[in-house]
Amino acid sequence: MIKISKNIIFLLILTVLTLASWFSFQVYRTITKESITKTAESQLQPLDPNLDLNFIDYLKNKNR
Amino acid sequence: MISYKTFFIRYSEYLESPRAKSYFSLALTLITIIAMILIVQPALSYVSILKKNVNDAREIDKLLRLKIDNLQKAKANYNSISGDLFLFDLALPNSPDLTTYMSYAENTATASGVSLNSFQLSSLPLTPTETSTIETLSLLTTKPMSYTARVTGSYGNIKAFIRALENFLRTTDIVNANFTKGQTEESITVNLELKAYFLGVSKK
Repeated sequence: MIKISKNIIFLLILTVLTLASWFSFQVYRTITKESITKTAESQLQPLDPNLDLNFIDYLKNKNR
Repeated sequence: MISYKTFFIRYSEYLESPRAKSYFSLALTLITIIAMILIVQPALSYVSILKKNVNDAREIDKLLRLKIDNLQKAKANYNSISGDLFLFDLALPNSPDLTTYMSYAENTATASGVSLNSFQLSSLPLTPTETSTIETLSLLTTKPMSYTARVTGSYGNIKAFIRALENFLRTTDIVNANFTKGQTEESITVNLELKAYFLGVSKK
């Protein structure tokens, strides 16, 4: 009877370890998964509002 | 129907052994842990998804606010130079715009005192490039407009003509200049190989 119980305990410990690792990986996958869509990503591209005013002055001078 | 009385009597005898009792307690503890994991897992998984979504939404919100600020600044900057935007069309038109270019070349030749004897172009698109759609905007590129011109005049006049071409608002590169003696003592004939540019669409 004790031998059977040992096997059961071993099986239960393995089950606990499997479930714990499965749960941890699932949470890790959720956290690291890319959830921003490509469309949103393209809309989030940074935009530089500064214009090259020196070049416009250069064109103005050339046009005179 | 299970007889609970016999069941408990049988197992109470079994649990009298200390080793069996500890194995039994350990097994029960492990089973409880397994049950707890299975019960709590969907809720915790859902919480982690929600947390991730909230963090992503905050990040998107932050970047969008920054972009809106930049767009407002860009709009103000654009309004401040809107009167000078025609310069870009003159410097880099969306078609070869031969009429303007040739008229400038002819006027410059007259002003410089040289005679423009010939003006030869390679094949060019006559329809303007579509620049108002987002699809074509990403494909816009500078296209060369190669041509050859033959001018005759004195050295000083030809120099003035070439200088005027170089100073033209529309960028013109002189690729090659071939000087030969003209019909009179002072005149020189120059075969110019030139390149101007316009805005075209690159092939996908």
